[in-house]
Amino acid sequence: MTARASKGITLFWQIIVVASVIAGWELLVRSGAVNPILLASPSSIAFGLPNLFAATYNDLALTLFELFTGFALSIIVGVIIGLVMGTSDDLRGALFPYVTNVYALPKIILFPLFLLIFGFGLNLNIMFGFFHGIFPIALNTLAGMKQVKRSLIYAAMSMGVSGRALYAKVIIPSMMPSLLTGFRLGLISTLVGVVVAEELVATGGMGAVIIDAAVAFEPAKMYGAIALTAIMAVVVNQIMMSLQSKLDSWRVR
Amino acid sequence: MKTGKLRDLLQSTSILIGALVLWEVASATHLVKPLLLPSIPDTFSALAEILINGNIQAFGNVYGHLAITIYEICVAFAIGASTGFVVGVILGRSRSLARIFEPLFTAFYAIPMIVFYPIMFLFLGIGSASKIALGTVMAFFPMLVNTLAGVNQIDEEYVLLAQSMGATRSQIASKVIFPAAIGAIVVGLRFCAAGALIGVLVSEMTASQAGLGFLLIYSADLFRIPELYAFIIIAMLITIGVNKAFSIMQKRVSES
Repeated sequence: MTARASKGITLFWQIIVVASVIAGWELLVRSGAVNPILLASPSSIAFGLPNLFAATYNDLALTLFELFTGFALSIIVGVIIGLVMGTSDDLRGALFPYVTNVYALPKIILFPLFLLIFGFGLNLNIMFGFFHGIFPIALNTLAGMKQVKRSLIYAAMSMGVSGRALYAKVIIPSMMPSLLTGFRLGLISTLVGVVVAEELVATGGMGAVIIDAAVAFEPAKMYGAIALTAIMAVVVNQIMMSLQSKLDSWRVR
Repeated sequence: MKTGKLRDLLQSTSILIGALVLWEVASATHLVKPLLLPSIPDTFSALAEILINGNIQAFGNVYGHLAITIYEICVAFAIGASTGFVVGVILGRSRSLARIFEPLFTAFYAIPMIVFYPIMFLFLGIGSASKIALGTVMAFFPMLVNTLAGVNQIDEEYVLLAQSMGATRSQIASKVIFPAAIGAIVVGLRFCAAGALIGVLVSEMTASQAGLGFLLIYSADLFRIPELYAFIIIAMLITIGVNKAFSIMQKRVSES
């Protein structure tokens, strides 16, 4: 069997799995087994999406804005922390335990502090997302620096490459796989931070739309907003994954 | 080697002490508003009062809240770990199933699970059940992913060898697959526990009347700042304890 044929079969079964989950869910609601007030049917969610999208367009844009601002900040700070830890053994010894321990901490317990410092609103959501995003980026940058082969650096140096060229031609390309993994994980983590903050203070963004709809007891709107947020997350993640494989395709394995 | 470790320890301790000094200076000189940063003595006397008295005005019985949170985390961890393990082993042993489900799980994993909490809340109410539900979902995925990775890395020749010597399915599972995958499984358990912890705390902070997450958000709402810091310290200690337990377990497993 060719690789392409087996890929097609896999895709076929994936569609079957997703379709049967949706069909089962629809049946569950239609048959009255589950109270439709608690569980909106997939068809009603789907039909409501265009209207909901028009109504929550601003919130979706706000969430995306917060996500990418937080993500950009966490790339800058995360990469710098990673590079600093990677270049100096002393600093790595001193910083590494803190970075890994804070990474392992449920960052949510520090949310009340963020609330006190940044108050309600945009800054809070961005900063909480940023705080989630730094750690995977810093740790993967560090891991990437460890992956740079000494022999490659020496070979380039012996051929007279130095300074900026050494970084551009040898070090950064070698770090690329780890860096990109870090960026993707950082993006997902930033989204978690942003959405959690939005849900907890509910001043704007998709998290707030979800919570407001739940509090106002509008299940159709709530399910629609959850679906929109989930679709957004999946799309953003898929874009990062295809970017990752595209930027990395030149590598000889 | 030994001196390097000692030096690292010295350096990280000096950072910690530096941070504490900075904290005290910043709060004593009112460089940071006391509303944001209580002094160290205030914080630790609040912590001591919480731990010794147990019963704090406006918060009720703190140990009761802690017991609820720990109960929810344990149940979420138990359900998430067992289901994640079983699904991980099934997917790991069947290449075609893994090919179908792995991309679906990867895509699903990108969604912040917290968005599903309102659904759980709608079905299960404000009590422990909805917290356990979110904790379970957040515990399930890391367990699944790591179990799958552990089972996948097994050298197929070992399985074939055991089969050719007449081992049964359950013997292969317990004597070949499990020992080879145990390292990854323990890593999975660690992330699984972290997931349960985060899920329970987030949902307690979103909507609840009890638990450590409730105390964290409620003390901020009431501007009881020393108490807030004390609760954060308690939450950190619980996390560090859990992490330590799992890293000891990891070391034991990798040594054996």
